[in-house]
Amino acid sequence: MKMLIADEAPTDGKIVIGGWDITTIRNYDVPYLRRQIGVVFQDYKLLQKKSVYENVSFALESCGTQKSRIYKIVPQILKIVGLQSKADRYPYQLSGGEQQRTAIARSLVHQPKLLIADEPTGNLDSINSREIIDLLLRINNLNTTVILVSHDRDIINSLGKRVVTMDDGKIISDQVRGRYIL
Amino acid sequence: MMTSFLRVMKFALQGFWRNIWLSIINITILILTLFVINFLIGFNLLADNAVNLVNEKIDVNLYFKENISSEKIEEIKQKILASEYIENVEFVSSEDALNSFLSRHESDEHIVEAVNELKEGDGQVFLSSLKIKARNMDMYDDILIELKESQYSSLFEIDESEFKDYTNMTNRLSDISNKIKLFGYVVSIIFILIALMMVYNTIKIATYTHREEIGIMRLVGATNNFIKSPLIFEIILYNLIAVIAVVILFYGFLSVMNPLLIKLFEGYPLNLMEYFNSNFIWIFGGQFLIMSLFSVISSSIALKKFLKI
Repeated sequence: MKMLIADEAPTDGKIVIGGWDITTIRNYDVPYLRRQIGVVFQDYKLLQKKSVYENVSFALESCGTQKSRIYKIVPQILKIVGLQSKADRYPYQLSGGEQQRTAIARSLVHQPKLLIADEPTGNLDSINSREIIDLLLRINNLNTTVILVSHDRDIINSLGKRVVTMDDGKIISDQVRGRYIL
Repeated sequence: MMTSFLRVMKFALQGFWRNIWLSIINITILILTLFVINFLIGFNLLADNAVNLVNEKIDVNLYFKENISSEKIEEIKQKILASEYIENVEFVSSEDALNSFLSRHESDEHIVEAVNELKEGDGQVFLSSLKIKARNMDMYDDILIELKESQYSSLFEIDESEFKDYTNMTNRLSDISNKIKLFGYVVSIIFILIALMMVYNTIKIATYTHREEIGIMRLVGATNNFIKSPLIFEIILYNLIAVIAVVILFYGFLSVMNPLLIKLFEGYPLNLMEYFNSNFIWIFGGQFLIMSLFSVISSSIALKKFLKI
């Protein structure tokens, strides 16, 4: 995961994303890579002092996006994740699932080609987990590649998608329509 | 570009207000440092002027014997002027010396009477003289040797008493001013070091308090410059406020001190207030620029270390 967003350099091998070899990416190019990759974590990583709207708009503000564009994009994304009615709420006023949806909304602001979800349901109950997985499937249907990192057997088995299994840092299986095998 | 700039300013102001106590402490240390530096600038000026003032009073007088003609004295004057050590030679005739003495003592009847009696007696009360000024204080010793060895030495007497008195005074003055300057330099170096550590520490604390925002900024693809700039602007803002405060405080201090100093250096064109007024941009603008430049450099080092950016 860290290597995919160029937070850590590989000791060996090559990393290519959408034809872009980022194995020896220059520091200068890292922000532009990250704008093309959305990342979602198990602990949401939301700013507690900012509202849902501000958490999402902060990602755009930090990249120098014009105000008019922020006004246009943020409501659209909040609508996709179903949080348009909770835009003014703060993270502590939201359920785990809603916080994760806020994090997903934030990861989508740059319309990334790739969305990496690292254990996005790790802190959620089964109902909220299902909502998040459904949302990720919807995003996938909108032509964004989603990499879901999960230890949840039921979720993996229910998806019927390509499954790459890693054990001790090595790929041990890669199936087009796979199942959880560990 | 403009959007990014305004946003950087917004984040910098947010950082400033959200950590207002930290900002106040940092600004206070900067104010102390800058005040000491400006005090030293003023003190240096005073010390140099005090030494110059005394130096200006130093001269060597040659008193010519009564029978020496003005033409001969003029000839000697030209010879002396040719020396590389000499700045100026002034001829004071016996009449000039008398008039100057009388004008100094015109209120004292006894003196005036006594002088008039002397004048009526043998005519000449004061001797004609040459007042010699050296280019530099250190040159008087050489001048005295030259005069004593000159072919005309039998025609005049050398009065070096003023030179000796004032030399002792200037030596003591420069000694004291050098000691105070040294003390000032040590104090300013200590303050500058504190200011340097403070800037570095501010960045460290700012990165710590903003670590979540910074982490998210990095994650969503904010450029390093965009992450660094608010922190750097925050410190430049500290510098700006500190310089403005020092201008106000220092001018307050000057307005109290200046009249006293003008009185002390009466008759000598020394005015600290005017000096700071005419060099305002150089002194305070320079301090702001140097502090800001240093802030940018140290911020970049601190951020590189703490953020790996």
